[in-house]
Amino acid sequence: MSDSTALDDPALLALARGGDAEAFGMIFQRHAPAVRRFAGGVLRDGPAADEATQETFVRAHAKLSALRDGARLRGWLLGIARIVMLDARSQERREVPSAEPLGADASADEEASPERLFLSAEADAVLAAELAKLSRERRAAVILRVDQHLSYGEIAEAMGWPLQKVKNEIHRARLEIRAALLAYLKGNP
Amino acid sequence: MTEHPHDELERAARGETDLSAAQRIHIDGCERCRRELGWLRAETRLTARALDATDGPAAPLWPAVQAKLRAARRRRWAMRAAAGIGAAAAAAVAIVLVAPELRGREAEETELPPSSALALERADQDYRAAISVLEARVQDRGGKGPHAQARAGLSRARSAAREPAARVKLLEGYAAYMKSLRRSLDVGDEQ
Repeated sequence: MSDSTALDDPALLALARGGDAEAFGMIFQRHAPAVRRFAGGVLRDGPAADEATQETFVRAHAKLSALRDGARLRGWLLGIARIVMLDARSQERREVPSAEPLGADASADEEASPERLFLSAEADAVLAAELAKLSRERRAAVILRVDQHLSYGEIAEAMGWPLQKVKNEIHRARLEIRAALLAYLKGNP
Repeated sequence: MTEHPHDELERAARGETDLSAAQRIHIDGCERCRRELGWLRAETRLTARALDATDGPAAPLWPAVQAKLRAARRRRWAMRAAAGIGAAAAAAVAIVLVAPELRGREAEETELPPSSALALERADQDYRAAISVLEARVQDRGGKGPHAQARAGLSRARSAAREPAARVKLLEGYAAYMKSLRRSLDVGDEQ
């Protein structure tokens, strides 16, 4: 069955649930890069992210029968990864209440041109630092939205949060990140 | 269309261009949306670059996953029997656990513990779903012949399988049928 790449997720899931080891290998090949990228972004620790990725697929293999809708496979795996990382809890950061930066600095928003951010390595460092300051859970939600492109509903499932909490957390994280980027732009005209 | 459509702006920031004409007209004519789109593009690109820095290859992790699965399977066999999770484990456990219960008994109705009965039912469902996928692929390649006979035999056996012993035999039949389907797909690949 060498061209399993032609099979969609529901078909691969059905085969894997039937004990097909090659199908589970194809699920790994297809989705492990996204899981590893997610784990790397949340944990910011390469070996820990590798371990979390491995554990995610070990747990997923044990729970294959629990997922009946193969179309949800990617979101389901990312949800397991999030739980794996919660369980690991190596360098949990306490949540810091968000400030209200944009309301206080609206005039800067009118002048700043975010397009300049694309060209600056320093802007990369500013954003990376802001991501690192977020709590692990909030950072996970932002990554699932901005990088993994999950819908708010899928993120709610993966995080085990109500939908409104997902929107609030991502909105607050965006406010913090933009405030830092605005401050950078103002200081570097 | 929602005024200031944020979801559509996020999609546009990612380079997904399937916006409607009305959405495009609004975004082009709305200063607020254009500025928001600029921020979303910056956020998307900078976040991607930040995650590139912490990313790593996933493929080299597969051997370790396989080793952990083998170890977990050895440790959790008894737990899977109780929970009835997973067709392959459930089927293997059903065969191992149920068959000894029936040894020396008459081939008549025998009551199974609920966990074993659930394991049999789950295994039956999962095997049939996996077989459907494989049969569709064989059919796509114009496969025919012996598979039709095997399928007919399994259907008859399923209708007749009332006793646990017969249902366990049926699972063995499913496993053998899956093996032959996979073999014919592999032969097709080589040709």
